[in-house]
Amino acid sequence: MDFRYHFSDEQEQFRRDVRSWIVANLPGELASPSPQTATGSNDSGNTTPILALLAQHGCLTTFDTPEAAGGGLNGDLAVVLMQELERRGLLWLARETSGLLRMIRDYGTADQHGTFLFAVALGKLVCWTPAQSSDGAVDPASSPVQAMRDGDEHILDGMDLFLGLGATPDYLWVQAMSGPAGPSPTVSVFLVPANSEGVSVSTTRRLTSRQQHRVSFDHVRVPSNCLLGNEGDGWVLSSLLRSPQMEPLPPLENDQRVIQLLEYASRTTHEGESLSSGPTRQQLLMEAWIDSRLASLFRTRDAWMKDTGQELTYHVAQTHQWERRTSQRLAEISRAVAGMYALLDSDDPRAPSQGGFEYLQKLAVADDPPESAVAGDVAIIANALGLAGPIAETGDAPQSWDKDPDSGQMQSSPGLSAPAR
Amino acid sequence: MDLALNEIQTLLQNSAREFLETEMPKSRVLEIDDSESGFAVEIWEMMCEIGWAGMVIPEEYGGSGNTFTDLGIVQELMGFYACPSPLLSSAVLCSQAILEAGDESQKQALLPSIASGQQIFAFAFTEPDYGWGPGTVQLPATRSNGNFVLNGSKLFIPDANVADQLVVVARTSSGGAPGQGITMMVVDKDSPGISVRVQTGWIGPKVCEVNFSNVEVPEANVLGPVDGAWPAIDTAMERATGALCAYMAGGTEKVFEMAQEYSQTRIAFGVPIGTFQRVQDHVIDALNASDAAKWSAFDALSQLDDGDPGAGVAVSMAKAVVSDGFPQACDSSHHVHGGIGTDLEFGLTQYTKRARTLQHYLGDAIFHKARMARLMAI
Repeated sequence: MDFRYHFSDEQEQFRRDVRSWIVANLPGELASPSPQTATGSNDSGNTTPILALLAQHGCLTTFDTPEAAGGGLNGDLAVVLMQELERRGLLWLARETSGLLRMIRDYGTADQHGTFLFAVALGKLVCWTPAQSSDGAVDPASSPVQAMRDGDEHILDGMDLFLGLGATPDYLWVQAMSGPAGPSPTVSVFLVPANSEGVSVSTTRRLTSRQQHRVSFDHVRVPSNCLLGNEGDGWVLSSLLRSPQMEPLPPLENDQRVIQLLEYASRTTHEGESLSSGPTRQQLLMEAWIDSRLASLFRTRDAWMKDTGQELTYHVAQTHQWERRTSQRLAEISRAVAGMYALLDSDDPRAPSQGGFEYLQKLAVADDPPESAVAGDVAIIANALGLAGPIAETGDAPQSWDKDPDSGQMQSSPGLSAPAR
Repeated sequence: MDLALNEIQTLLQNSAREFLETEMPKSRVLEIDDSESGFAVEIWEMMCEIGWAGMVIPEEYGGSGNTFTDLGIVQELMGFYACPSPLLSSAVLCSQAILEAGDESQKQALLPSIASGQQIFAFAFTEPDYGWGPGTVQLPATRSNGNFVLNGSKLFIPDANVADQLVVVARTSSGGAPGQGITMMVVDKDSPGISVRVQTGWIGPKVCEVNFSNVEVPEANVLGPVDGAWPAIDTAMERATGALCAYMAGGTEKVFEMAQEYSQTRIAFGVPIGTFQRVQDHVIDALNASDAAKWSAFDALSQLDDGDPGAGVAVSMAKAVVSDGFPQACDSSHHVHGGIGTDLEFGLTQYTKRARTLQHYLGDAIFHKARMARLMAI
């Protein structure tokens, strides 16, 4: 057994190229490998250039061929690219876009392919997707937008929260109740032009820099060609949009957040002793280190399974769940170790780790809410373990994703199978 | 990165599974656990026959010179089937102590009998002030007429009741650092002045109190330098801990599988209980503990095989993970099973008992996190 990811000379050269390109092309706050500055805090108005720049180097659709507007990267280079994006907090953007493209490719009409695939992949078209809420992760009946059929059209009413770069999108992925409420509600997805009459957008202030937008739909009339898939497919589409089964996270080297905490505790003294020498804090620090190391092992396992053609069932969701939970625990531990200093942000000259610990506090409750996305992960894992749950009742939804050996394209395979462990 | 087993390891895994599936049904485990000795000689002989006792002993000393990962594959399955045996005490912990500290003649004299299973060794380390650091070793060994004389007690010693020989860790001087003044010696269990009592309670595998009353040990039985055995002991315990982690990972996997299976088949309110999210949470908690245990254990074993300088941290991390995870997975599985889980015939309690015992053996999570911090110099 070999648990280490060995990077080839080609991969390391590619890494250098990517870093050079990022420094040369992305705004300073995005080019910095620091989580505090990433995810587009000041990106209003320059979303499209950022997306286009990322797309140009295959960041948004790493595996797709150039003919499909992808980066055409092989798996080895895509891993490097994903690692570099993750270091700058941009991985979510690539994964969201990748998920969106797959959904449109698999469920969209020819017209929708023409409208969206190349434009999204090239970063020329921005489509916001819904922010996942706690109940939304497992309850299709929770869609806050109603869609009433009116002839060939639907009329949308309601309000939902969306994630995405920029002040305004080109399109919105709207999950709406298109039938009567009940135990098996009809939920559909519409790709709605954001400039449709009745759509209003306000960007909410959030704890972290990843922007969340409140979008109201006031009698918005959408033609039938906005419907993605069939009426009633919405719950499956929205579930799969961010299904972590699609793609393992890249191998994780040392978690810099934990390293910074260890270094801080080692060099900071309290009553004449280093923080890390106290037995209680020492135990907590090691717990943080173990959590991050386990996350790394889980990612290694997932990558190995994917590389060797094994079916990923619960695995990526488990890794996702683990990281979300341990992110909150890391925030707790950083408070226990650093005390009040853990709450100082990067503007304060006394902030440890350039405000990194403060950012962890926000991240733990905002971008990594442990009980929202985790609920979705639980549903996926339970389903994969053969414990019938809400997702299992959604019918013939694709449950795993494989690369077609001939075309190199990702393809879905239907049905469930016993988990490979 | 390659987490696959090689061809030999796959064969080893298949044959071990076949053996344990046949010989270690849960009724047999219960029977052995209920016996006075907690030991089944015929099972032990079969294990030795197929070479398990010599796996990590070099060929020149009668073993097969396998890797620690190979050993972990067997240990993982032994844990999965809750197989009781002195394999870890004798063939891993004591053999590694002898390999690390013994001189050539001692290795030639002792290791072949361990590898063949002809003799069983038990490692007598822990004392009334239970712990796994050097400071907890207080049993005095005083010099007298060319011998060392032991007076005192060792507690919670696995397999001492069935052992032929004891590897005793004793204090021969004090006043320096905790690791100084420690001496390791081989003691014939039939020596005059030794008494062994199996300690009672919800403990598994069985552990013993060993009392020494003016027990004379020839100086020739000393392994390694007098007063300076700690580094060899630490190394031997580190390797044995890696193997123990694999055993505990196997047990964790089993209790997860039991919870998964039961939640699929037990019907309440007309549906399998696995459809209830609270039950799912318990099953998934057990799954997470199982996967964390497995991969951290094999990462540690792999690093031991590679002689990686970070192996000590990896082993301690794995033990911290399994020491917490195995008991927690058992708790989760009990939550899923309810009353049936406490039925001794059902089998779950065999694992719960082991989880709670092995959680402490070779150091608990607190001990190993502190060890990690020390090794990482934070």
